Amino acid sequence: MSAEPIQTPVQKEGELSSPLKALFRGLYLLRLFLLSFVKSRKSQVLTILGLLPAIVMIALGVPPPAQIFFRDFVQTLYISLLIPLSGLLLGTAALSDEIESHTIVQLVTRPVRRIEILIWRFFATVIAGTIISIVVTSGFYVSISISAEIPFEMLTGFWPVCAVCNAVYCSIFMLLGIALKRPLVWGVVITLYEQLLGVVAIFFEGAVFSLSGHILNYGQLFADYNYNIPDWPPLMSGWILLVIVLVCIALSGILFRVKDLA
Amino acid sequence: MPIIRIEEASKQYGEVVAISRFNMSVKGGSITGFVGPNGAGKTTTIRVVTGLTKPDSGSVSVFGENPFDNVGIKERIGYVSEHDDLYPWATVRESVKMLAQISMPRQPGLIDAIDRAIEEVGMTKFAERKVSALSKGMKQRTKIAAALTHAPSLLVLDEPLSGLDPLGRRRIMDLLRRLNREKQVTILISSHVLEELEHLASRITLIHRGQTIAEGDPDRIRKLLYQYPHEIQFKSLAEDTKRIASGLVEIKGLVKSLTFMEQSDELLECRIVTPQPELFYDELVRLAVERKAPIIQLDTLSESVERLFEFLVS
Repeated sequence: MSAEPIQTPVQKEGELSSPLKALFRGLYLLRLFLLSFVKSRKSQVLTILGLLPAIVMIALGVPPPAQIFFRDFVQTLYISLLIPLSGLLLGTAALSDEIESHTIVQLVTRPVRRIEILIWRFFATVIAGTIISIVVTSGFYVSISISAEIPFEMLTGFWPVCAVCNAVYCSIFMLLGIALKRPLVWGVVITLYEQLLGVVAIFFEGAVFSLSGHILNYGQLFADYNYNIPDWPPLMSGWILLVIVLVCIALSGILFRVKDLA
Repeated sequence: MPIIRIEEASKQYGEVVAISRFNMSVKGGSITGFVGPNGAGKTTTIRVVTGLTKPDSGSVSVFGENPFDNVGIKERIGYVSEHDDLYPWATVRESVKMLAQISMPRQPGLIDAIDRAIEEVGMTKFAERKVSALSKGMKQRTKIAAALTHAPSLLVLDEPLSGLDPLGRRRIMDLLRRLNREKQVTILISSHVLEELEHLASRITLIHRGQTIAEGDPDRIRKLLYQYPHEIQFKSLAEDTKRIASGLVEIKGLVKSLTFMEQSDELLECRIVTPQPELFYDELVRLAVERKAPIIQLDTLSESVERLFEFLVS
């Protein structure tokens, strides 16, 4: 073949080595994605929706005992329902929003691997989801603290649980967003399944098959509450969640690598 | 030396064949125009070249390598797509800077390169304006600036002139000429209007239904297109129109069909289909002068690009 020979890449003076270059490139991608979240109407709406329970609490008052009410409410409403829903909306749109707005083309045609775009987009989605979770749970904490005293550690203990919850749901929904044509529909099915298992878990061990069950089981290591899946130590749930996240990211990477962006 | 080489490449989307056993090569340092009607396969070819998609079969090489997800190759390509693909919330400078930082993280002199690129496309005055508030031409120029910051040796532009006013079109064409002349940037540019590219490109490839139907320098392509039967109408005083028309008909093979269309008592319009437009215009002028029959109005009835390409295929 008579094509022009490839120039041997030579590191110029002041230029970063390849791993450092990849790291900084990733951090710039992360900043770009986080800025997109800040400017997006979706993140703003999710934050306002998440703050609604706090407003309701201020209006209606808190039933005693306030500490138990706060703990149960964060577990059942935020960790089991609102964060999965926010993960559903942010995760499924993680790459499809970039594809629909064609901005993905600007990124994919830069000297950056697709897998880098995917991984940094995932981190950005998890960070954005966690920041929203921290804001809304803090709002809820403040609304209850008006009428009753609740230790601040009770709130901060839930933040790592929120981060884990966001990481798990965003990874699953990001995979659905890349693999399926109607990811939202399937996402709603998964979320409903979660809710159903939550109810079933009261009667028998449905929590073993439930993501939020494992998240709450693992979350005991950070937050002050008790949750029990018989014969499942919290750390084991943590490992299962990590495997789920890694498998979802790996599958997303494989699918995104070959995805036709035309 | 060809820096882009596409051999027997085919790509299908469901039932739709985008390109079929398509061949093309682009020489280093050239400006290659890529012309075809909508749906001809231009964008698919460009996406294959820029590594946005893979062909179902056949091979593509850019700088001797497969461009798909190839970071080394993407460092040498600047791509300007046909879509609005900038973040609307960012300003011109932010857009160019964010994308440049991804291309060349923490590279010394990056800020200078960004300012230079913005200046090069004439957007310095609008650098702090948000992308959402830019006109189409300004967006195109911003996209070109973003594609230039990492000093690519190949610039690929997908319909960058469509929807621009004549001034905006001219600015972009001047910029591309300058880049090619001063920085030896190889340019591959697509359009569905030949006239847009014939004064810019050193080589033109005509594509239709996913296949190359002609390629060569603009002169050769223009001659080829002149073989297409042109429909021309001219208007003059009734007697003068008849005298010119009779002269044209006498020239063998010049007139395929002729229709008179009465305008008024004094004026007469004549509509002619000719397979030899170049000769036709020469003869029309000669007859008008010789027979002292001034022409009041002369029009070429435009044909759709689609029909023109159908003709070339046939």
